[in-house]
Amino acid sequence: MLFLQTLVNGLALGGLYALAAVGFSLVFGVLGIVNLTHGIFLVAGSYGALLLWEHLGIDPILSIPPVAIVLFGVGYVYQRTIIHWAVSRASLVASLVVTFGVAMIIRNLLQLWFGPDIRTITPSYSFSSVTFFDLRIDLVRLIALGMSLVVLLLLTALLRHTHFGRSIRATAQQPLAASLCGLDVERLYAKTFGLGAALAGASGAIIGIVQPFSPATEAGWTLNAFIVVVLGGIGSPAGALLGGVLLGLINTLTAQYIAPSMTNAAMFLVLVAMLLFRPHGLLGNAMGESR
Amino acid sequence: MQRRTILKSGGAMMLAGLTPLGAAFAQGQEIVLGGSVPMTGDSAETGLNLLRGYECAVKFINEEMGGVDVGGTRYTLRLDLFDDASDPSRGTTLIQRQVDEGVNFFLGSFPSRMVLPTASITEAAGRVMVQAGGAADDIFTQGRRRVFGLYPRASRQFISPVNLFRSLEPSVERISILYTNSPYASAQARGAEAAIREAGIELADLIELPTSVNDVTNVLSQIRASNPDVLICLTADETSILIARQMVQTDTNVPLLFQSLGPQNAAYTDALGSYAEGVTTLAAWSENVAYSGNYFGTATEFANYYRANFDRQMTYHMAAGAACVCTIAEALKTAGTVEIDPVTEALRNTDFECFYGHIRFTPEGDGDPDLMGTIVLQIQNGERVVIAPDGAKNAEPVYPVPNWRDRT
Amino acid sequence: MSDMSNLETDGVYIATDGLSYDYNGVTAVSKVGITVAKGQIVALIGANGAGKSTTVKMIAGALKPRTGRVLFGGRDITGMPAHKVVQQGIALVPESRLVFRHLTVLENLQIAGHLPRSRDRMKDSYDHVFQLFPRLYERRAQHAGSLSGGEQQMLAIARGLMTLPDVLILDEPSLGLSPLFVGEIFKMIRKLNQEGMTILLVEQNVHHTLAIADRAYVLEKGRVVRSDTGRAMLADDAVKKAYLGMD
Repeated sequence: MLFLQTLVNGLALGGLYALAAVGFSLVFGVLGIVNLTHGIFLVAGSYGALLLWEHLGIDPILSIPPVAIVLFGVGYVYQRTIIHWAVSRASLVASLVVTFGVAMIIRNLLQLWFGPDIRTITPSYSFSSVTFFDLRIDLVRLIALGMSLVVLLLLTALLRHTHFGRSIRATAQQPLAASLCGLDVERLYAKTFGLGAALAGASGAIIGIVQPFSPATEAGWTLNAFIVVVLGGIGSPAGALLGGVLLGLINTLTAQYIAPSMTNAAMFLVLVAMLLFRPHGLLGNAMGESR
Repeated sequence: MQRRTILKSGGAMMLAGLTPLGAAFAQGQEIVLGGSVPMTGDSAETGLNLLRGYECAVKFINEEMGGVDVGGTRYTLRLDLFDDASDPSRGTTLIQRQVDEGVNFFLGSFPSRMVLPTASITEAAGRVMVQAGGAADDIFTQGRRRVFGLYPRASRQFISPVNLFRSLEPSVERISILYTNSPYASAQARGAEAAIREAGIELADLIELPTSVNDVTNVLSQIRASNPDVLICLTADETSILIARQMVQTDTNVPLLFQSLGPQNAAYTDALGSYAEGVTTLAAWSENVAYSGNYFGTATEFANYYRANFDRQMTYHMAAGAACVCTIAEALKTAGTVEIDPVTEALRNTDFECFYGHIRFTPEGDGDPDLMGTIVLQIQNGERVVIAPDGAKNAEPVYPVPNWRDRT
Repeated sequence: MSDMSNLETDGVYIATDGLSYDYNGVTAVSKVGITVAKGQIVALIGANGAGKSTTVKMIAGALKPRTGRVLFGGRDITGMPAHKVVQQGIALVPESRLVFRHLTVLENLQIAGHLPRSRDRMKDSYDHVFQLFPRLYERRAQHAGSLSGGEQQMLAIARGLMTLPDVLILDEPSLGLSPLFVGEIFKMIRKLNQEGMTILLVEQNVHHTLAIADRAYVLEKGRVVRSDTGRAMLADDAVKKAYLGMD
């Protein structure tokens, strides 16, 4: 029973990790950019949900669409300006430095606006839990898991079955051929980046009801996203889900059967092993061979 | 050789850019208090609390007391603190620069992992630090002679809470401890463990958590299984909220929940609402304590002065920070000179009462555990009341605390 | 300028004037002027590195010329980005095919067929390309990466046709294919031309090319060194010697 409970906890945590990472994964897969501003988008989503909750009483789950839309716009403009300048004038590696710098600046701005204090969003259901036999799980985590799966499925459908999704995949594989087919590659990059930011914001709104956050928590989420991508593979919702669930399970199983303080060590051990033996993750790069 | 000189003067120029020239020297009528606090980063919440405390005392001493009388000369105090962003390498680099610029008196950063490296630099340079941001044993037990802390070292902080547990009815038989893998919390945990065993209480669990935690559901299943009378959490604010919240969610009930960091702050009660009722915590100080003295007057008067001049919600960190400044001022006054050695000697022999308490240091430099030991607070009807030690308390402990579902 | 006005005569589809391009300061194409008339097959031949691919990439908007102009149906399209040029009616089937390997055959075609100019007639376009390449229909659900080289070339051409171009530019379509496929590709090019498609063909397979070309340009070190009808060039001893390996 304890084992089962551990698995359930790992799955719930994994769903959250998966959603938190999928935007990062998409941007990495399509643009080849390791976006170190990802955690900022996520925390911004949490603060957005907090504002809507505190001032308008909108439930964090319902605030996902407005938060995602705003962040889409932010991501779009960010790619068209700062990221584009960095990549076109220097290199993809320059984007690493630039996104890191922007993350530091925005983290400090968030601290100025919201203060460094830890914040939480507590709708009425945030203290409830669900029990099946002896298995117990918080309602917010269950909701978060459900919402993560819904968003990941929607994203899968978008990538598979819409022209926009096909265009993103085509551009990721062959930017030149994509432009020869009439796709505006620069604009698609910006839209993909916007989509990545929107997904980060959506996960931020969900994470806001699950655990406390502050501007300083952003770096941890960027790191988590990176690990999820290394575990699961680049560019696909399925890879993010696999990587997220693996990370969740590694966390809870290590905490339960070795020691809670060993979870980070276990995580990095698996990370190093993956980089040595399967550097493209379990599912590889879904976006193709071009990078 | 030449290049070094250029680099050095370049460094000095950069510093001059950051701080007005002469700021680093105790020239004329001014004494500079250097150092750093985290104004951004993980520890910014407490860092800003400390900073407001420092600012509050400097303001009071300069404006209300006309500065400090040192051997017949009036000196004003000036803070020259920078943001270390809780980054030890950044903190040490900039502290070293202040040392090079001739700052003699330092206030401390937060938490222990910041105080330890920065205090090592001021100690090696023969400068003085008075701090209220670190209580890890290592700060005091490695032979430093010019580093003073207002808090008793971590391993001695649990004498007072354990005395409380021992006095509770029905009697406390089993205690579980969760603690973060950090120098401060580890030392606290060892201290708590020793105090608990000495009191003849069974230690049911001693569980170490990583520094950043996303989920404690599993740990809580273990706690439900071992069913202790008291759960002690030695964790950072964020983790404390997470633990309490998941305890509610998973209906993990203990007769008494004790969390070292978190319940002092407004963020905690905002997050938990009525579920925060009955949670107990450690504090170095409360505005309800009955101490008073030269600076600010009584504890309540300090609180009033603070609220009249600053916006940030008050916690004990403000009082501790302010007390650091008062302690330095008192030592300067006693020494009658701004020379480091006599001032250090005066700090070693510090023995005065103020709004914060009776200030006296052990030979190792930490706060005297009998005089400056921790008080235990409990959240009762939304207020943080003092329930221990007996001499300081203004309310009786609520024990056992009702189950989560009954706290509405 | 007087040159250009000459070129803007009836029936001239594509005309370039003084096109030049550098790669990192090394001249790749210098002052190239070619014309393609409606309904023709025009060939660009020359050795590796002569600047053939660079020239057609500039026409299709994939590269921005350093100097010179590109006219299409009388309109100046110089410097227009590739995704807009294809909307104007010029489709470049790039060298080494560049199919979207992780997309299915059908998805490859869908992407190209979604242009505003071709969107409404997508169903007809499918019928057309599947009739032209029945093999692609059989493999429509497979990933493009799993196709053979020849099939990938068919897909690349079909993808170009899905944009309903007025001019189809083929860059080395026979490269790396088995002799059997090479024959098929040239047969298909001729067939398309007979259906009315204007074709600009870049090739190293000079013999096959000149046999079907109405007009051919020879590029050497980035310059046009000769132009004539395909037939005349095929009969030319110098061309034979240089490109056909015949004495």
